Amino acid sequence: MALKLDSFAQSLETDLGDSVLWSDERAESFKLGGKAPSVVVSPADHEALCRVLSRANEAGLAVFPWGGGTGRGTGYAPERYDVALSLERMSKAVEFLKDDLTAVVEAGMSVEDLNRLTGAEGQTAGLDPPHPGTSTVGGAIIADRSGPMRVRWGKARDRVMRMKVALADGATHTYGALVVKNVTGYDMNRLLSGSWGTLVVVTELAIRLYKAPEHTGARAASFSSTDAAFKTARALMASPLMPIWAEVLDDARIASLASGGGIALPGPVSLVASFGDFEEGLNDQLVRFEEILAKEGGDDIVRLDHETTSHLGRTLADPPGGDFSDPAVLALRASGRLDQLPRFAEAARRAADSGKYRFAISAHAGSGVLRCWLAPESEECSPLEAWRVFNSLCREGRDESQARSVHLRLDSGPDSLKEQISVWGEDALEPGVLQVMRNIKKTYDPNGILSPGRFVDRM
Amino acid sequence: MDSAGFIQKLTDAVGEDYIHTDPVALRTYDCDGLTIYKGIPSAVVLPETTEEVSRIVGICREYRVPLIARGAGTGLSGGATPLPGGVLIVFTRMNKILELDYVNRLARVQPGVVNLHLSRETLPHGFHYAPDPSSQAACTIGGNTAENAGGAHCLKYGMTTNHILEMTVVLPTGEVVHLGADGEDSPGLDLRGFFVGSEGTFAVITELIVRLTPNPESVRTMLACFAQVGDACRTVSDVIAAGAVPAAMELMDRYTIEAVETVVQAGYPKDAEAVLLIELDGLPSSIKPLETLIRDISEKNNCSSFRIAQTEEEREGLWMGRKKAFGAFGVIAPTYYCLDGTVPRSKLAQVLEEFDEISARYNLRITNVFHAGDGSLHPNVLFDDRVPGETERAIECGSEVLRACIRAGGVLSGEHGIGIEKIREMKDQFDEPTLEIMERVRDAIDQDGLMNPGKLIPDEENVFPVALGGAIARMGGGMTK
Ligand SMILES: Cc1cc2nc3c(=O)[nH]c(=O)nc-3n(C[C@H](O)[C@H](O)[C@@H](O)COP(=O)(O)OP(=O)(O)OC[C@H]3O[C@@H](n4cnc5c(N)ncnc54)[C@H](O)[C@@H]3O)c2cc1C
Ligand SMILES: Cc1cc2nc3c(=O)[nH]c(=O)nc-3n(C[C@H](O)[C@H](O)[C@H](O)COP(=O)(O)OP(=O)(O)OC[C@H]3O[C@@H](n4cnc5c(N)ncnc54)[C@H](O)[C@@H]3O)c2cc1C
Repeated sequence: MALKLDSFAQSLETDLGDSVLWSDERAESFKLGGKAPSVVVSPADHEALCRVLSRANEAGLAVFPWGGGTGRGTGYAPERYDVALSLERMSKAVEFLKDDLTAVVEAGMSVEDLNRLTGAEGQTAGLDPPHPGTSTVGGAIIADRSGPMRVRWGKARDRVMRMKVALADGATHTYGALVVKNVTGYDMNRLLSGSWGTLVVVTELAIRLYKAPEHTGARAASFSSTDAAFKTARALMASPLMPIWAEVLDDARIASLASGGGIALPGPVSLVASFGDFEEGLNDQLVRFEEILAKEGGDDIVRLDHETTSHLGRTLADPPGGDFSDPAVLALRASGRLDQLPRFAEAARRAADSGKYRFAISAHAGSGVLRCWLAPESEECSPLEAWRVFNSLCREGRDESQARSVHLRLDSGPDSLKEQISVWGEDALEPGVLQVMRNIKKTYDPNGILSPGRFVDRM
Repeated sequence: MDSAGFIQKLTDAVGEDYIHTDPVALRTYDCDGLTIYKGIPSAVVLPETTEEVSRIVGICREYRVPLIARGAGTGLSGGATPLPGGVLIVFTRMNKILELDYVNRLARVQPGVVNLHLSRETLPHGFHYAPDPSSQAACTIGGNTAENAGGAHCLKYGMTTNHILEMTVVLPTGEVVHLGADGEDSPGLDLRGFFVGSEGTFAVITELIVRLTPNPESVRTMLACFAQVGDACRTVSDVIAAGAVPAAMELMDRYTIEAVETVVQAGYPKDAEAVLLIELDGLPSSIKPLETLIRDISEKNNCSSFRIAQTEEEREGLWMGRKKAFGAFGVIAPTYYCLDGTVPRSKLAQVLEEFDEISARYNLRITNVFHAGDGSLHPNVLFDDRVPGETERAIECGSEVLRACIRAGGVLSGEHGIGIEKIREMKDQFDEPTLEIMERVRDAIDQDGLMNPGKLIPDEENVFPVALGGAIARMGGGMTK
């Protein structure tokens, strides 16, 4: 391997000079699952990146594309890890077509920079990953990172109009076009959004934008139980109101928002939803939401102005801080029908209890997604026990087909746990589906050099 | 091949009442809404369950016979046109709504459910199925999913792909699997998203879980008329750029207005070069400022008149013109060829000018009536298929229209799919390596090449010759575009 790496390095140096920077000193900060790469390579542009890939492919070196690294906790430890391919030098805006609500950017641009670019024209991409200053546009799309705002803007993959990608062998493809409606050939953009660096490296994206609402506001109310809060959220979703996000938070999550973000929400359980519209429409939506809250038994209504709403929106994407940012924390996720959320919340509580953890819960109540964080409370906490309980309670009493429709994932957690479980929830996939995924992987990356071992079924 | 044995097995799979093999019956299935290409299948089967479909796929695989799925056959790109000798699986019997779950805002349906029937069922409960292709009174949700169909209201509510949560499919191996989930997330690659719009070339869909959308509380419909098409196009761009998302924004040009007014008298001014039919929906309080905004933008762009429907009757009248437009073309020409290239909104005016130039060059009239809000064009090449050579000329003219869309940064198809119709132009849209990877991915899924071959990706082996005397678009009874 060392020999292969040497010749890889040499050939890049002689051919590409400054267009590829190369470092083995920084390798420690690109660790995945406890493994550091041999080298960190940062190409300056698409062509250089393609050359890096084709050389790595020839040498059979394992390459992990690297955006901001905020998703490093997700997935299995690499099977092999030679090269961290960093997009840090590819972070420019290519074109901002404001009249067409389209931004074309290099994949390494941070989400915050994209927000700044589009925000200057009152537009938004509706992307809300945690740590937007670090998370890249490419990473957010390739991980299909869809946060609280998905209830209004859809999933991250809905943002992609066009993608320029480099294949494992260094070839270039461009999929899609700068149009919002397109059924020309297969929808490759959807195939790649959510492929976690296993099929291609994205170098440039055209992102569909929306006009950001000029007026936003939010209302929160306290509930005595998560069940009551979820029921109210369902009433909201069945109404003609259009929330930007609608979250149910438990007391630990509320406390973390108070201490970390200075935002006071009423407990023990809060339902908080934000709206954006012209002024008249906004006021109407807020009043009507208050009526729903009151009717469903919500109390202590808190009114958030435009600024606090934006601030809370950004903060909601981040994990709770304090104890909950410890590397031993388990970040769990469950997704299913809206009326399954109470069951997921109960499963989280019982999982925490049996594994000896403290927990915090936050759910995208309009999208059927629950996230919870378990922080170790004592030395003898058991991540495996907690996962098992979570898994079985989320799926309990359901026949095979119903169990399949509940999607569980470990967003992050100790590597020792990952070795024992199905991190991506792929145990729910039928063999035929996994086979199709494997066949596609093989088509794109026959030598298996892109992110080997990290994704579903360790493919 | 032992064809008797093959047909016997298919008969055993679906029952003898649900298989057609006699030539007269087969001929009724020889094409979809694009009648220029035809193919006679060896058998038509009408299964009732997923298991039967799986058995059919297994038998076809054993005998290496291609299979083609068909919903209502309203497709406009030849997707459901059988490769001669193939087996056509028709979903007419799999037309049941299996579950309506209003709490979770979803429905579980069989693929043969007619689009409009689902909304009809759910409307009284406060919900509807949002994707609304103009063929919705006839087309099926399975066909919509395979084409990723759009419609007038997709501007606000998204295409079919945004409304499909899970699909049960029979893979080419005969295996029955589920893609996606009834929640929003599922593990691994987004195969649900990738299979939507794959035109029946990956798998056969046998069941779907779709999203239901709450009904809007109020609707406002307005008509803005213009003396210049360019002004109407600029209005479209300006409205979207201002952050207004109407539920629908449809543009009709002079020829369309003329045809419509001859047939239904929708009240479109005959001297206008273009009209915009704009619909807003949502809370009255959200709509009101939008209405003012849209009127201001239209006026800034020199609209000659601006009218808001004051009654439901008036509103229906305005839509009637749009819905009858395609039928009305029959009055001004024996037949027409409907294309669906899509361009960035800001390029609308430019491509419409180019269409005029192409129209003059081919001496064939091109009319335009389309989903302007998302740049989704419907140029219609009018021609007379009884005149020798005119069909071929119309096809060439259509091809030029599509190339103009590509030059403007657009694409071949925004709604109707590639099928057989635009397969040649795929080479204008994509370079060789990109087409090749699409083909390789398809091969990775359908290793024996039996799923709807000869569609979507240029294919030297399975070519559909132009059928003699075939008109290009045949409008079925009761359908409105
Ligand atoms: C607290 C916290 C919560 C999170 N919650 C979620 C969540 O809810 N859902 C979720 O999906 N993720 C979640 N993540 C992960 C992370 O937010 C997303 O994966 C995303 O925003 C990563 O962006 P990044 O630039 O940091 O990518 P990275 O972390 O660098 O990479 C993420 C993945 O994308 C690949 N990748 C990155 N750039 C490219 C590229 N240009 N081409 C090809 N592959 C590329 C990488 O190989 C890797 O597989 C969370 C992370 C944190 C820290
Ligand atoms: C008057 C008129 C108006 C139209 N308006 C619109 C419009 O506004 N927007 C729009 O998008 N389209 C429109 N169309 C085109 C057409 O109606 C759509 O493409 C529709 O989705 C086709 O549905 P179908 O049930 O008729 O499918 P078919 O035509 O039978 O089949 C279409 C494709 O789907 C495949 N297919 C069908 N069922 C299955 C299945 N169960 N599993 C796998 N593959 C399957 C077929 O093989 C074929 O490739 C219009 C057509 C007409 C005639």
